[in-house]
Amino acid sequence: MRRGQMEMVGLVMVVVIIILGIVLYLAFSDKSPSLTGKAKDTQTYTSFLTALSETDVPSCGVAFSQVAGACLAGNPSLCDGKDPCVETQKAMREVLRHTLYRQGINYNLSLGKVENVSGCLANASEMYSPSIPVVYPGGGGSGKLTLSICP
Amino acid sequence: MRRAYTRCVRNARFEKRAQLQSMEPILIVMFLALIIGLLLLFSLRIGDREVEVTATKEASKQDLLLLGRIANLPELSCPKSESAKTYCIDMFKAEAFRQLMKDDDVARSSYYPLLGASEIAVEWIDMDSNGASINKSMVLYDNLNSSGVRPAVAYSTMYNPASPGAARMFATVTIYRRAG
Amino acid sequence: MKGQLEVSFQWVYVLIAGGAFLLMFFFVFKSCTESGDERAQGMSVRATANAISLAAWQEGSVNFTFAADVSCVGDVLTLQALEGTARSQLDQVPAFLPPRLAGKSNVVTREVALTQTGVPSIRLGNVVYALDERTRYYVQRSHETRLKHVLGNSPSIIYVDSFSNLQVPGGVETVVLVGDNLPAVTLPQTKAKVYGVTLSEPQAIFYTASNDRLGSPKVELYTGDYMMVGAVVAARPQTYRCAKENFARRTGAVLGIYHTRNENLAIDFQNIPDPRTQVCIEPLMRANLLIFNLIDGRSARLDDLSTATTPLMTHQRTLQGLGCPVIA
Repeated sequence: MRRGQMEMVGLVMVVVIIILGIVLYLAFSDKSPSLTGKAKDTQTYTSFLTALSETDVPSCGVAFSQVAGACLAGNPSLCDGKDPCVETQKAMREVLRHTLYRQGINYNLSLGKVENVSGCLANASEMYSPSIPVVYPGGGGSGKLTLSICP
Repeated sequence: MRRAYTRCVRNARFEKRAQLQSMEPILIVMFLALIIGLLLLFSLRIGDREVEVTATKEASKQDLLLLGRIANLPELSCPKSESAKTYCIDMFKAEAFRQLMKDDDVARSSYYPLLGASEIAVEWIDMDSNGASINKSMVLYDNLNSSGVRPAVAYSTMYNPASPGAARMFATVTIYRRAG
Repeated sequence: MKGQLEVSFQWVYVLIAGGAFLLMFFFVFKSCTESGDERAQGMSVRATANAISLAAWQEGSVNFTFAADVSCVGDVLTLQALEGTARSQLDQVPAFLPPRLAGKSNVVTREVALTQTGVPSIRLGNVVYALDERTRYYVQRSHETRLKHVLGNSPSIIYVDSFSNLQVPGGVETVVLVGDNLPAVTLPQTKAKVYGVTLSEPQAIFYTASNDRLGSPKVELYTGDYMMVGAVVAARPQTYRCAKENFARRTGAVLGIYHTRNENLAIDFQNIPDPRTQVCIEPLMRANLLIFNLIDGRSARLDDLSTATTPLMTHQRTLQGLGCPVIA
């Protein structure tokens, strides 16, 4: 009886060591370092919006944020008679074409009704959705310029 | 004679069992020492792994901070009157900086503590009044001798002081570092 | 009896075998952690040096906790860990650091620029000052305004009317006396290392205490307020010289970039038949001549910076008024 018990104990010890080894190996060998993740990308895309808002629109001679504000307010006087919403759309298209579109990122850049979409519909599950305020020229209201990024 | 033989065999069996029983404590102690040793070694590996993960996260964060600092350097930034909420790079300063980094080894090494072993490039979108655009680019600093690279990106504007009307253009600043 | 002896003999084997195994693993563990510690220490001092280097390029204030010796090795500011042999250089960062960093330190980066009200400033670069909690500065009141302007309020700096009867609290490792006529002072009773700096334009004179009195002075020339304050924080002539030269190098690079930029702008404007930009050419070229005279090889002539301020800012104002791109 004693010998049988000792054999059992020995067997259990061997099994415990093997299980311990496997568990620890699995737990710690394949962990790939995760980057700063969501915070980092949100910061990058927010800087995208800020840079876009301060970019000059040559056809209007003023910054994008002002043209976008005029579009939201329905005010055509800013762009020498041209439709500010059309100029906003053109500027968005050109910027996105050389940046997010070229990188293959699925996005939806929207300013009220003016939208520029590539593979990221309004109701789709988004990863990030930073936005910045856009003010009407001369005050009196504001809207949002939103960049949604889809996986 | 037969009784002596039987007794001999019985004694031999007893001896073997006694040997086995006396080996057991040694084996137990060796197993325990093995477990303790394995645990010690694994704790070392965990420690190493944590340092590695922290180091990589830190590197990412540093890249983003660096991108912010680059555009704020007096060597590259727009005059104070131009830079509003975001980063603004003066195109003519950028060209002068690029030339300095390319031609002057002493100057390039003096910026090493800030820029390190990296390549810093800026692209900007030159739009015209008809809505068409061209993508232009410039490598500001190149001190990277590596094939595997890890880019970090920030967005900015490129200011052209020679063009009074449409002076600020959408720009992308990319810093490439050795991956891994 | 024989059985008992046999049993205890077996247990000796058991103990030896088990002990040998444990010892083996223990040595492996110990050597791994030792090299890990060394690596960590090296990483820590390198991380600190990198952090100071990085902080140096942007205005602001950062706090560190580290222990390091500051020295100038071949014109390069260097940090060396106080325990162990780890060393990391700061590499041409324009930093004025106290002689020793023993505990918590507040590293302050300040921008250096030529300024005038109502006109965009002409930025020249940054300098870094570190105030260490175990370094105590006793500063004569005549320098209070200037120091506070650059370093802000700090518990490390005590403004005094006279240097007599200074009581140095425990835990202070370094004392720096800053005044106008230091050799006449009585040194405070303290085990801390004592340095002295007299600041009277255009010189900063450095002293180190030996045999209960301030020893022979080392004279260093300096120019500009920011340089003088740097002398206070460095408290050692070699470190101060290192920092000043690094600052001159970077400012020289910055001015060189401004010069190239303005030259190319003026050339472009010459090729554009636009009266709005044609008026910009002459003021840009005049400013550029001044900037050119401020550069000596690759470094800035720090002596001339303050005298160049007014004429440069006049050109800056002119350019701004004409709607032209300003100097920088």
